[in-house]
Amino acid sequence: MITGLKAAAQLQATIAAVAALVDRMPVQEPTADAPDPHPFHTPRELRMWLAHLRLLESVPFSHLVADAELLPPESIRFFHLDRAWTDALVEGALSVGTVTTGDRATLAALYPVVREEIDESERLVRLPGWTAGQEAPSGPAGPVTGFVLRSRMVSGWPAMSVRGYARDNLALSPKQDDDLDVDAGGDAAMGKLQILRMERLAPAVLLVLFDGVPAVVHLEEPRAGVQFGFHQVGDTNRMEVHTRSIEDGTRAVSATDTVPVPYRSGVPGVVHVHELAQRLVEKPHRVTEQNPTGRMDAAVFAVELLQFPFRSVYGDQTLTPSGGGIDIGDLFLPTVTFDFLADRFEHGPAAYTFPREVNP
Amino acid sequence: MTEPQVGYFRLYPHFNLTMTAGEYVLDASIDMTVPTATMEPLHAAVDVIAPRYRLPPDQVLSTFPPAGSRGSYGARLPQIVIRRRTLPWERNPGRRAGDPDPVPWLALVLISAGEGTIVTNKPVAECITPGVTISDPTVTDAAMGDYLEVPRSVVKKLFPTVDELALLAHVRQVNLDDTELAMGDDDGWMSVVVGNRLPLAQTEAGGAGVSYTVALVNLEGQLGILPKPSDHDPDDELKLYAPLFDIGAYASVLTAQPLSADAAAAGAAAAAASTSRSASYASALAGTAWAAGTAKDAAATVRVKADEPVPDAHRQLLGIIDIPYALLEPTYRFPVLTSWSFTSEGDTTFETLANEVSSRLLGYVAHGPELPDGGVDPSPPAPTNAVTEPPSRPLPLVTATGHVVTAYRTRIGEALEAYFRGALMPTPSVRDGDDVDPAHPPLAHAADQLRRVTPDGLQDLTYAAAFEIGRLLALSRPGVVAQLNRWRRERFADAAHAAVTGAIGGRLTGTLKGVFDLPDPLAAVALHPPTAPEPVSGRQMVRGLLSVIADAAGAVASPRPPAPAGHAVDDVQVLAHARGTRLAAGLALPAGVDLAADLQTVAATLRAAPVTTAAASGDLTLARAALEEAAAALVDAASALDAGDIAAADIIRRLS
Repeated sequence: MITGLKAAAQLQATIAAVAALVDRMPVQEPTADAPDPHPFHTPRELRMWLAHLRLLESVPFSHLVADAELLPPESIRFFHLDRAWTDALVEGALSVGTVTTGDRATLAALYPVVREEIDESERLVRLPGWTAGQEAPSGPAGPVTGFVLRSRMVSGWPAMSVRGYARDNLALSPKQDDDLDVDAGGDAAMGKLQILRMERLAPAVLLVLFDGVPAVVHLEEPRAGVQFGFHQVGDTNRMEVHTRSIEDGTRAVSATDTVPVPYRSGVPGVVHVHELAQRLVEKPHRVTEQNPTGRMDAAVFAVELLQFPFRSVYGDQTLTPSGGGIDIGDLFLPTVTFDFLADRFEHGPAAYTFPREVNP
Repeated sequence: MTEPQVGYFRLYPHFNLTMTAGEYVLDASIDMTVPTATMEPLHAAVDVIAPRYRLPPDQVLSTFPPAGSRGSYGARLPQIVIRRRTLPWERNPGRRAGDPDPVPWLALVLISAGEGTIVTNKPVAECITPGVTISDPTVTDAAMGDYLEVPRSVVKKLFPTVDELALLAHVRQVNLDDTELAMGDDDGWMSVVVGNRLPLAQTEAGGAGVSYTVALVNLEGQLGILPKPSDHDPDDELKLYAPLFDIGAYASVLTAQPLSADAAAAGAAAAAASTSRSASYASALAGTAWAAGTAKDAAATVRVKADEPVPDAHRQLLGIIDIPYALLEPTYRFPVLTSWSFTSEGDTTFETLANEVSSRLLGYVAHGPELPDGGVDPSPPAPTNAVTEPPSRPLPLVTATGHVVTAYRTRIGEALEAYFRGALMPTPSVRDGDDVDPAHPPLAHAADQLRRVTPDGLQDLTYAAAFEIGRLLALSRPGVVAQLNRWRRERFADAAHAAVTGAIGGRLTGTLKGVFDLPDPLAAVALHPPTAPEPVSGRQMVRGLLSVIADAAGAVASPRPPAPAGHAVDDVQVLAHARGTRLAAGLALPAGVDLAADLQTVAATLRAAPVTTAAASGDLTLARAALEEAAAALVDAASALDAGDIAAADIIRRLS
């Protein structure tokens, strides 16, 4: 005969014993072809599924953004990921099949370990270019942030590049220009953040999660879709090509290195490609180590005509020469303020009804 | 070749494929003389296949300008990015022997309304200009295809020359690590085909942009039709858009022909309808020198046409879809692998979109038209980009914490409001329990545990909803449920077991310890060799205790020895001779009972035989001593354990 008290004591002791001896639990050794930094207690498939869940995979969009008005067309919205929310999500998933009190007690005992392991696995979800044997990221979880972008940029220019940095390139010393200086070499100085997830949720909606809090986000026109284009000469109806070094793609700056764009006479808009190629070949720096014969092929032609991708930078505007911009307090103006809520909580909803406003 | 760095890409002029698509015969023979045999030469047919009339839709990575879009594209050449890096060079469109580089078989052609017609879903044999022969015409990738039908003058003006083709296709190798394609199948290699015509937006007559169609056409067998570089003089001046082939001009000429009464009415309507286009055409005529040439051409063409019988031409001209160019001048057909349309107008580019996007924290509600970088626009221009929704419902109520007040129907059907916030919030988040004890986070077992009631009586359903979504997502995947259960059953339960028994085993002493360490008699006789150490448990403890007691001779009836492994010979002997005695032994009957005898004898023998019981053995003291020792050890163990360690209680429970 066991009393309720005894049973409770027994459960507690079981939990204590499991928690103390969780190290005795069989661990799954990492396989060579999966990016696991060390053995884990939770089976890999399950752990990775939970990690994917943590990154909000397959979570309905209305559970990410509660109201469509919060993400109007042509808008980008930055956010912090609510870790308590994703924890609740995982708790819900883990609750499946816990039938008895014993199941729940053991789960509760193991939960800290499971949570820690999923924290770590979040970083293993998106590891582009990882090959077997390479080191995988590890360590405790930090804050996760990101943005949702709803724009025709997403639908019209698929596969755009996104990079988030912990330090603003303009805050570095020496200051790094948004356009010219920031490249892969500066990743370490700027603290490039790992992208935990990047996915198009809808044709025109892009969700990006960063592992950390970015000070600046660079969004770039997709390189795969970079186009051929020309520069207008002043206000005239002429266009020209600003030639580039085919060694490294740097733009020639002197005025003599521009080539006027010829069109087929009598056919508006149709470029006389043959003549344009001739004119480009005549430029002196065609002959290089990489192109010893100085001939014009499609790759050289492309180097000259490609318009470099446009880079949109989201960062601290007070660092820009023009400064100013939007006030930090205006980034998020709640409809219902803290003061209002305090009054409502104190005096009751009857005295303080919500201020309703209709979209103008 | 290594991947380029993040942010860089490499360009390659072309792929020089040694075998382009087609039918090949592989002949192989060995030059060897064997006196008694002949060496058979190998004669094998090899087909190299490639798309011809259709581009698989998954092969298109992106198009510029975006399909169906409206924007300012006038300074950029249209292009298509194809996932297959070799595609533009997989067929030989008629490369001459001396050409240094392979010639792509694809061209990207930009046509505006009226300059050509895309005819869809025709048998592939009809998709090419009649009379043009292509190699292996029967080897096709599709039965039906689309084709572009264009008049000769348009081909001559618009299409690239043969030497331009090579410049208008190249290969890119891109680093995809910081894009959404990173974890997919793409390897970063792609081929790009570029058009040679700028999609100009402005016309002489002004207007709301120009609609264009871009077609990726197959040039196989028709390189000879393409213009020569010498056909065109270069001109550095960029003119405004004007249609190359204005059907309106023809229409007005043709409607001047004598018509029947009803057709005349229709013709008048056509002339009226084409007024604006004719006007633009006329102004183009007046404006530039080249246009005079066009006018001459057009006039010449029309004159030729006018000399021929024109059966009902005016009627057909009214149909915008199927303009019978063939009536006016020779036309050519090019198979279209893919095509898309867009409108060139205004000033929308990636740059303007990126600069005008409204950048805020999530939870910000726009109360009206705004400038991208702050402040409410004092004089809002007519929103051109944003899709404005009619003011049908109130703006969402967003609290300072990022929660939204949302409609909520309770389980009993009450219509209430509740606070709800999605997984994304405008402020940094704190994990549940981090402020109390981060090492032991609280764990909810049901969604209702996560409901919160705010002081104003509304519920905060944020985390309860999250819990429920997680639970439903797990339940929606049978694989995940199975994994969870397997984990729980196998490793999770084993770990719990091992932990409990380990805790007990460490505290036990003396006989009890020995009992505890005994192998489980059932688990030890496993059919399969155990892969991991068998977990010990209370059940095993009981078995051990019982076996100790039973081993005390005379305490209880002597145990039945384990049955020997069956043996064929033995079985035969048992069946033949000793069936009765074996059975009696198996039933623990006293010796001398022969079950093979007749029933009455057996009954009499059984009646006379003494019943073997523990009491009959007479030595109760031994059994008692064994049990007392066990109980004392249990008490010792229990007192030695920490308060709350019910490992002992567990044993007691299992014993009771």
